[in-house]
Amino acid sequence: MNTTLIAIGAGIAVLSALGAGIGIGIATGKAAEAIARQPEADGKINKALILGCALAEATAIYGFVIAFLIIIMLK
Amino acid sequence: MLKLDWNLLFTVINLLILVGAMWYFLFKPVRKILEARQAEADRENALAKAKTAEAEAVKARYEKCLSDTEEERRQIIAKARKQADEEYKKIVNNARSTAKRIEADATEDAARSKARIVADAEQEIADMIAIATEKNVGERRGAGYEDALYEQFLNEVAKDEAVSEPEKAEGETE
Amino acid sequence: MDQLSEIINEELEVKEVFRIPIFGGIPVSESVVVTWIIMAVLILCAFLLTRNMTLHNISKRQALAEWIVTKLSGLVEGMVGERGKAFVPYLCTVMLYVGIANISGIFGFKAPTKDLNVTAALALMSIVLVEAAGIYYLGVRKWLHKFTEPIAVVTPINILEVFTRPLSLCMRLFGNVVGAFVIMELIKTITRNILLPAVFCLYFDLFDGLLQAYVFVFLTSLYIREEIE
Repeated sequence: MNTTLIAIGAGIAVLSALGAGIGIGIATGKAAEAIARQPEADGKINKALILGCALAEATAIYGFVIAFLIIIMLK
Repeated sequence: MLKLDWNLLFTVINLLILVGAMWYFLFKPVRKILEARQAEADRENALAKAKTAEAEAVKARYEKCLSDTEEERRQIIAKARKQADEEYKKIVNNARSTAKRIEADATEDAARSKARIVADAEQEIADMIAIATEKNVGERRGAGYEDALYEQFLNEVAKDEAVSEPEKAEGETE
Repeated sequence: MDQLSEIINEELEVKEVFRIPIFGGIPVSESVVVTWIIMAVLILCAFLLTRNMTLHNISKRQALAEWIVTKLSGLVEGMVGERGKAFVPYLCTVMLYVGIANISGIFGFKAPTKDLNVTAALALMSIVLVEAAGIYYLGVRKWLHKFTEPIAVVTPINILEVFTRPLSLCMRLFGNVVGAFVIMELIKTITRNILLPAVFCLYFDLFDGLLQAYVFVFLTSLYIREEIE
């Protein structure tokens, strides 16, 4: 019972990955558009994209950390 | 892994030491070298600029010298030409005056010799007349004698003229 | 599954290496020892690279040292701006340290950034540096005034930011490294061949590790820039 609740809580925490997925998807789509519009600027666009992805990924990472904490702390 | 303890402080100290060490061992010497190189490049640049300016000055001086020389040459030539002109005029004048003098001398000579010749001729004519008169008076005999006398007189005149003519021509050509 | 959680637990637990025998024994954890090793390697490399530096006819060592310093400084200076030039050595050093710490798992060490203490220390230093830079460059009055910008209502949020920024820095780094580690362990457990873990190792350990070092320094210099300009 207890373990099940912990697992459910961890699973809900990991739902934050949703935001990261949407964010990275939008960022990549816009980057593709930008490269299509200005192919000569792809170096800069790539850099900004990777940086933005790394930052957007952080929310998913926070979710992961919280899930992890739930599992470790409440076990 | 999730508890904060003394190790946080250790990590901070470690990081501070690492930053100091990296500054001392990596960033400071490399920056020093880079700055030294930059300074050297700047210095060399300045030196090259100074050299260029110097070369420009030398070139300007040379060109000025060249133009000066040209001017001098022109002046010398003009001077020489003037001098030569003067010399020429002087010589020509000299020659002209000399010629005039010679001409005058020659004219004078010719006149004198003409006068002398005339005087001589007059003398001779007078002498001849005297002789003729003497002879005429002394030997008034026969018509043949008169003819012979005329003949003799004409001969003498012709001889005189042949002598005085080349003398006159010689005086004119001088 | 029990085996996997055992491995992960064992790997994530920061072991105590020895105790300093004062104040009843201060434990020194594995992460600090690995940090010492990384420090030793970095300082040794720096010392060897910059030995016998000359102005002309530079050796390959010197060329490498100059290349590293010029590239790193240029990269960081582009992020922190012209006014924050004084922070470039610190930020470069942090980038080198975090980068090497993140990929030290490849060399068989336990990555120090898997320890919350290390990332918390890094984040703490970052925020102290940011606020110190604000005070130093703006003066106390302007620095305090900056909390009420752009309007006075947001002052609580601005004050809160002083705490959330280091927290997010710390958790981002820690979570990324731990997450990458856990995923790598999962992949290693569920696949028997070596090729798949090798490919994922390239992404999670190398690329993500270096990227997180870059992101950490990028965010810190962004905060500094925002504070001093």
